[in-house]
Amino acid sequence: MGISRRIPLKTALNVTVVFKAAFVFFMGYEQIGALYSTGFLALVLAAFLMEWRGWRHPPRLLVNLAASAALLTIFTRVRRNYIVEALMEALLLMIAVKMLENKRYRDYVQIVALGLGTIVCYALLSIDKTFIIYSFGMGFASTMILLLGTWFDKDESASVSFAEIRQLTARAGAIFCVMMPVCFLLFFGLPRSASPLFGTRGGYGSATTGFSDQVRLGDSSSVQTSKKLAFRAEMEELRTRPYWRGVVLDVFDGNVWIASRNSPDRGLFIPDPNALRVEQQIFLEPGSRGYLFAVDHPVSIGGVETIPDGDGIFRVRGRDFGRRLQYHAVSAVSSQMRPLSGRINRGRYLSLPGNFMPRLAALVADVARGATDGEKISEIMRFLSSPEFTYTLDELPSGRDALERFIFEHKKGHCEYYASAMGVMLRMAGVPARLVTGYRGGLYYQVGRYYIVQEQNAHIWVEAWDEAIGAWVRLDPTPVGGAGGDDVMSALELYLDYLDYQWSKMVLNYNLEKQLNIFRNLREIIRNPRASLTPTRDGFRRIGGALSVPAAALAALAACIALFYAAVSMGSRRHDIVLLREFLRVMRRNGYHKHESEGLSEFLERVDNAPLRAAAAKFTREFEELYFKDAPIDAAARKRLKGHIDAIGRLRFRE
Amino acid sequence: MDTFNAPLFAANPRVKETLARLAPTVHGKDSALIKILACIFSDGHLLLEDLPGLGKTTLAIAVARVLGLDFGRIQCTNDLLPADITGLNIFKAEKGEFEFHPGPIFNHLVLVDEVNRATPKTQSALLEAMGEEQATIDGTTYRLPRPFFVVATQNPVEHSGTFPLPESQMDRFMMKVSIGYPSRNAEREILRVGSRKNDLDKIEPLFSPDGIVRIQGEIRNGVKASDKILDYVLNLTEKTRASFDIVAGISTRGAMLLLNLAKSLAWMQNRDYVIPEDVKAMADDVLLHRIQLKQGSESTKREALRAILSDIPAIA
Repeated sequence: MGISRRIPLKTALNVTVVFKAAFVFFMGYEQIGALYSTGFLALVLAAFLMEWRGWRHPPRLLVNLAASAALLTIFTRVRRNYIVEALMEALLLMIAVKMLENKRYRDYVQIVALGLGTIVCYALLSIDKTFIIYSFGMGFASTMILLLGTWFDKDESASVSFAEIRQLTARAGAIFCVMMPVCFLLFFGLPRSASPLFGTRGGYGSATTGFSDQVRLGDSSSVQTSKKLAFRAEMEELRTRPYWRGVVLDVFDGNVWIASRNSPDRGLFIPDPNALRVEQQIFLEPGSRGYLFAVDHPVSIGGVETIPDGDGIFRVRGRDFGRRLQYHAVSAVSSQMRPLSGRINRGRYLSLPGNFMPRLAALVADVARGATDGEKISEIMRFLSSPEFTYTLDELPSGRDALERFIFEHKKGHCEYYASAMGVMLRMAGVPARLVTGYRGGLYYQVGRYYIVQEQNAHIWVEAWDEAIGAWVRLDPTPVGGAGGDDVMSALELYLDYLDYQWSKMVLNYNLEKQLNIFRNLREIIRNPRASLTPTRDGFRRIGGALSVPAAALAALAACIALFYAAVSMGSRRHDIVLLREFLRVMRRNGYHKHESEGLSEFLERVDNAPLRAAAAKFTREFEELYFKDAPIDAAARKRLKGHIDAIGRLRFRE
Repeated sequence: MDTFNAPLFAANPRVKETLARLAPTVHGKDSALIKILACIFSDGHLLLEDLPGLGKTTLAIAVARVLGLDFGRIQCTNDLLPADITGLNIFKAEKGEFEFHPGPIFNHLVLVDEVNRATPKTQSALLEAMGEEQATIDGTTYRLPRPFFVVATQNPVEHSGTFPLPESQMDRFMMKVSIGYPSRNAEREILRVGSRKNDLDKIEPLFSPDGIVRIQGEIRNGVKASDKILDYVLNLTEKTRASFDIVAGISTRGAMLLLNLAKSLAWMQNRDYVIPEDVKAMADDVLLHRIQLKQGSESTKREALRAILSDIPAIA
């Protein structure tokens, strides 16, 4: 049997505190900046070093004065939109100050409490999923600190072997596992909105997006390479590359394509009866400017309050764009769109500025010689698909004559150039035309059964009116392999996206109202369990709801209650253990350590201090009888045994 | 554990009185006495292994007296025949028929001195009687009296001309105990007073054969061995089986006997529940002659068992 290495208990405790402080540092780093939190970490590490090396603690008065001054500066910085951050700064400072002090048990408990405050602040500032990691890490570290701290309280000079640390770690883990349902409940129960309650950092106002509701040539090109998520659509996989309809741009002023609002002739359409109907559950990231995307063309959108703009365009009511949205859409997958009235305001879709680009007009007159709309369309399409036209995102023509230079000289561009060119050419040829912006393609993730659409999928295409069939026909002149090319993601990336998707689905798209409902339902169940269990008319809906997040939270609560009761009932059986531990602790204080393999009577025989032995015998005798006869330890017995233990404790002070 | 904390046994008035009555004759042999009593109350047999002259016989006679039991003695030699133990049928000419003359085995307490001097044939006749609690002579089966208790002795040093008991025969004995040398004080007392053998007759019995049978039942049914204790015993047997040093671990019978003895020990301390210390106190005497080491002597065996015991949590 080798003698295992032992380290001072205080060192073990301080290491745990530093471990916990690391989490605090990361949270601070994320929310209140690198400089401040690095300062915090430096202080913590200095304190640890100081204690480890046995240097003298700085005078308490000095530390407290410095801390007060720092606190004062922090509080002068409090503004209406800088409350939580300031609080967090203060908490970090206080933790660091606590670390610098010569710590006793009380101080460790205070560090745990301050850490708890930090994580609450963090929860208010962030909706990031790292919250789970932080709360787990902090929770575990706190449990460990409290466990070690309790020991430390009894015997400040104690040392601890690695085996004991391992054992304690396992125990802290177990305790924390029991606490976990509570954590989850708190997490789901705390009012969390889809956007952070406070924080401005990482807000959505500045979100870049490839989508825009107007097209000005030579304006944006960099956005199209962004892999930023635009939205996810839970649906079956389509056989063709999906077009996600966003906005119709019907007005062209010679420079910019824009969408007209509330024009009277934009209207309803008849979905193609033969077209495939697809239902989609769409999780839209912030930044869509209120437009709700769906597979071209959307027939109806529900789940959010919408303003139907006609032409298959839907906007969300209100100007709450900085939110994630979840909605349900039904689309008819078709490249043709037939207005309900059967006709359109041709003039509107043919209008061009007077004497617009005569050189191009001459070219169009030359290219589109066909008699019918359909022939003109295919001629122009053929012209733009000729091999000399290629795709690029760099060195794009810009300025007022960008379009002409694109067609005659450059012959290189991205979807905006091609769509714009085709729209203008169609109008010149007398074919009503408009541009549609949205997204094209996306990655379909088979496991999650959803499309991942990124900003680089942003796209613009053309709709031309074919008088012969009386419908808008979708045309996409942009060369393939260019814009909106589907990116390839590794399996890992896909899986990470899936986790992220589940996170936003379960947590973020989960608004205050629903949470309030959970609590209302819970209260109902607790108040009148029988009534709430009787089947109701909407029983089926409830069963459907059983798969939803509220139900999961309910289940978590139920599990929590069950665990609590299990703990209570186990506690009643484990009173013996608690009492025994207490007894052995008191005996330890008197210098008698019971070996694990020792029975109580045997242990008692070793006690050579007569009064102590007599006092301990009282406990031992009664306890053994109850314990080895498997007798339940009721309240009276507990009280008696506790009395015996207290008597032993008093004995010590009399000495 | 070699010594008992005698004051603990004062809790049971009858045990206290027994120890008090025997004190003048068997100086300082309280531990051995307690073991013998526990063995009797557990309905088992005892093997005393000691050098001659340490008071084995005195102890056995004294116990028989105080328990109110008939006492029979067999001095084993290599020409001892089974019939010398069990008894034999003798033809009575005047009646014209055979008459059964019971041997020394038909006593409640039988002292078999130097059992390893008897031939294997005689040994097995004795041990069979111990196991079956009956003896068959010329086709007739005679029940042995109840309670029936054998104390066999053997000399651990002397080997020439002996027939050591095989392991399986050793298993018939519930305990193997050695008295050991008396303490200096006790020995001085013996030297001062001289042999008290004559006083043995003066010991008044405290028990009766029927009373002992009743006590055996009382212990069997009245003393509680909680699952915690059963687990303790099971842990112990498991560890002997898993131990690398031990050829074969404790048998189920060994575990059962250990538990029975622990119960008796608890009863003797006026408890109606077993504590781990009861098991521990008996472990050496019950288990040591039941385990064989791959290598090493008797004392390493003791060490091995001690190591195992110190590895098992006693409580909680």
